Amino acid sequence: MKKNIENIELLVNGEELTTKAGNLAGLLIELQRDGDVLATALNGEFVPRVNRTTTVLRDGDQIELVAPMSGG
Amino acid sequence: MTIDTALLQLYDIRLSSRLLLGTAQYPSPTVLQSAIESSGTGLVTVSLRRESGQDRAGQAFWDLIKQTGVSVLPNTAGCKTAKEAVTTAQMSREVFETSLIKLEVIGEEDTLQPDVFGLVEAARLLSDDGFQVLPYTTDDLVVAERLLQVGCEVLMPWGAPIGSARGLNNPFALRAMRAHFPDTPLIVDAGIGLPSHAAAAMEMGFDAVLLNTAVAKAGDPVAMAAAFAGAVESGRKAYLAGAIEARDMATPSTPVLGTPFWNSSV
Repeated sequence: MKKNIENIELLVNGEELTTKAGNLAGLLIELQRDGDVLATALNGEFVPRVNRTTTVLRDGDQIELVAPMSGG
Repeated sequence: MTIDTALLQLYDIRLSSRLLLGTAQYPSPTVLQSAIESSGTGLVTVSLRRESGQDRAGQAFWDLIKQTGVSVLPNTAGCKTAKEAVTTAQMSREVFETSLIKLEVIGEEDTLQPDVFGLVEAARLLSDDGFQVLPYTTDDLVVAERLLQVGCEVLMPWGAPIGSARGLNNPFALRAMRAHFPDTPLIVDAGIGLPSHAAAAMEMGFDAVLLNTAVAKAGDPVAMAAAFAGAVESGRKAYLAGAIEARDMATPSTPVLGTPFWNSSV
């Protein structure tokens, strides 16, 4: 039996987010960030761009979305 | 005349300028761009930060840096553990498309001084993963040895705490470091406030200086960037030219022999 897609709760850059996205690539599309220059991490581990589609999201996951910024 | 024809080599990149510049805290993107130009630098530091909003500030910043044509050295600023620093470095490599990483693992908030234990650990993991690591470290020689052992080919000892503008807090230790590692590219990173501080580091034989706040927060960052460029170049030339030793007593610079009335008792 096919399981219905359920809402899951994530922490995205430290903020709570409810989503139906099943994987990291889907989350970026939902956030309209899929075309942006950014890097991703899941629960403290780097997720390369090529692995976003296969990176399944689970309730309670912590996501980092980071973009270029000035630095010293 | 001694001419410095050698380019600064940091891993596989070669730079004609020995001034490395940070990109933070400038009054505007335009000023940043002009300061990069007037500094003559070929390598600037950049970072990654959370961006949840839709303003695409990161993209705009990255486009601006790319327009300048300089190479980038991403940092792991703000990381407090080796694990955070490694993940940040991996994300940086993908976004900035470079294996260079300015490795910072901060151990203490008041001085922002490196956690040298986490630093060595992160440097080992990153070097093994193919990164070209430029560690922000102290002037401790034992830590420096460990960093080289785990694969670092460049070291970046602090001049003084980040943003403090105090210059070279411990010239003795920096001189000892230069003497102990004659063949390792050494860059004084952090704490530089004045062009004279940068010149002093270069006169000691350091290969380059990396600074940010002293330019970015100056009254006229573009003019200050040019001032630092001149100081770094002068310091380098002085080092290559070979400075005289300091002494406690005077020694006449005008020849004594033939001085009028010399030995005259009148």
